[in-house]
Amino acid sequence: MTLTSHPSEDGSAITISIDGNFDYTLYKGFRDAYQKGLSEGVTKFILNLSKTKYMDSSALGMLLVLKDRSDYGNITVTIKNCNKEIKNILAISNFEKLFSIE
Amino acid sequence: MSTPIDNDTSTEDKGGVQPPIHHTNNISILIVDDDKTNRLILSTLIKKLNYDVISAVNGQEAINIFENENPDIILMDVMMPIMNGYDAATQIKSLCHDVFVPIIFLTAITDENALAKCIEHGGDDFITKPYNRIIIKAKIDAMMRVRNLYNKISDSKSELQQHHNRLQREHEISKTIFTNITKPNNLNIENIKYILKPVSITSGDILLCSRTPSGGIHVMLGDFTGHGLSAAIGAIPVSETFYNLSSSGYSIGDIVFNINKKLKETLPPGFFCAACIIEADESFRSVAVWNGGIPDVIITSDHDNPIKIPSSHLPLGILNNDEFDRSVIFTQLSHNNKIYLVSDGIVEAINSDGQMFTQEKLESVLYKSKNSKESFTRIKESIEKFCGGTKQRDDITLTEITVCPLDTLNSGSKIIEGLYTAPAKWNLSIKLEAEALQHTNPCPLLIQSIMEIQGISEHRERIYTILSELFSNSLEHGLLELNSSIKNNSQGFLEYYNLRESSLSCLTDAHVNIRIDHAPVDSGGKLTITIEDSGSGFDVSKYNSNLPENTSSYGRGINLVKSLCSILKYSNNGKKVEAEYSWNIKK
Repeated sequence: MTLTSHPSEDGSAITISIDGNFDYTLYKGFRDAYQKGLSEGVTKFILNLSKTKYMDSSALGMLLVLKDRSDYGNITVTIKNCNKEIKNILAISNFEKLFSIE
Repeated sequence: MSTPIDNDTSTEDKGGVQPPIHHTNNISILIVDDDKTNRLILSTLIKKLNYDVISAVNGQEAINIFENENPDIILMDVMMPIMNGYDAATQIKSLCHDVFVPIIFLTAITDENALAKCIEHGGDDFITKPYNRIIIKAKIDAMMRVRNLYNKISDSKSELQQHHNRLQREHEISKTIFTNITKPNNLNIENIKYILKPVSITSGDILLCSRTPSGGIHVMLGDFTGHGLSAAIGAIPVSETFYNLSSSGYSIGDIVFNINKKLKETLPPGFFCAACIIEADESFRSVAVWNGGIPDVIITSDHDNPIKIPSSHLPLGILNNDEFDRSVIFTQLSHNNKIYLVSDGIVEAINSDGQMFTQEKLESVLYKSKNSKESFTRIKESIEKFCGGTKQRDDITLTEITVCPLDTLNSGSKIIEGLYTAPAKWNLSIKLEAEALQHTNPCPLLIQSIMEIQGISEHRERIYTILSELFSNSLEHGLLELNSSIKNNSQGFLEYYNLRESSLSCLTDAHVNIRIDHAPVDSGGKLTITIEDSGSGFDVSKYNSNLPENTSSYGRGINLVKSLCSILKYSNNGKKVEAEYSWNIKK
């Protein structure tokens, strides 16, 4: 399980990618990644889940915290490239009402 | 024994290349040697290094001193009368338990086998004679470092053990609290079967069940973020709110609204409760479902196709009060239907190959059972078989509710305690002209008035559904003459609502009359809703047919309204509809 984050070229966005399972073990890494983004004043977070196999409810919780923090600064959060299972998990919790999922 | 010679001439400064070790005066070194001269030389040397020195003349004396004086390091000769160094070392090591007391053998032997024998008997190092003070200092320093490290680890270990014990105890206390608070005191309702399999001592899944004052049931399945202690804490406000409101006669809409409010106020961000709450009336003719984040509720039947009610809301504890959606989905029931509620721990259970159980598999097991009586056992067995010995990853909850009228035990005339005011005779009516119809939905206002006057909030969702279905039929079919068959595909749905909006904005010279009558009857009260419109009438039977089995049909249709009312009657060419709804306070 690894979490990587890359700033965009102009520094306005950060892409956080998760390889493997997105669960509570990534809590610290995930927090560090978005806090870095917030302190650098990004306007957009992109979550690339193309290599994410599964996410548990604590991952959903992390997404909510990210949204909470982002809403303060008018930062958009986009979730990208989800596999079928993850789409299903997000759909059951109706997270499409909170996030733009591509 | 050879005479030890200190032939080292270098100064002490050379030893200072290593990081200096600050000796405290209470570090004591036990020297065990039968030769008086050797003891003297060695003890002088060690005293110069600022350590305290204790001496013993043989192995037996060393053991006695060890037990009484607790030296920090032992320097041990090998050949001695009464007890040799090997035996003494073995015994001392066995007396040490968790404490590390280094033993350094003093030996003239250069035979490798003999040196190995020192280590075998519990020695940690050896110094060969003649003594070199730099080597002695270096070895003692090194051993002290090992000893300090060992003690640190040993301290951490015992601290960890204490933490573990405390945690264990706290877990047990929380388990008791958790069990008492979420006590499924009503889960002995005979038509409800369930399994709860938590991952740790306390569960993040909760199953609550209650009989409502009017004899129906409320069942709630909640699944908190994560599992274990932190998840279980949230169960306390949830179950309290659930039982308080349910037993006082509040509807499930009120219950979810209040639980959401409570959780939003108390939970840290990112922590929430996926929940599904269902309500069935006493006769089990229909069921209301609010599903936020729980896998599809499945209703099976021996004859018809199964019905699935997907999650249509966000879990509890995320949205603010003003964003929260309390709307429920109604569906009709018939006898021997079975309602299944499962937590995602089941559909996401993992087998030894890392595959998930999945919703599809759950459904295939459910639908395959010819005899619905066996379905519950079949699911249970197939999950156990699927997971085999794999470590359970999430809390698992499976609930089956069989649809059959609940026993009416206390058949004596008993007033049920609730929020009700005594049934009274009253009526209210409202006439909405075209302009008002364009801007107002009268249903929320009316339901509010009914609740204020009569306090029958347990029936709120049902009455609201009847009211709003009948009102929208009158408006959309009676006045706007829209054809609901447009809605049969997903594109048509949007088209229908666009059409509704444009027709409504051109509406002139039209009205809808709504009249609500309430009267006391023997067992409680009777509510009559009459809606009349100024349109040219519409063929009710056209809209009576069952809508196609698609998701949009949930909670829709005249048949559903019929199942909620005791009487539903259209007259005057579809221009007038009368619905009667009864509620009980006596059983």
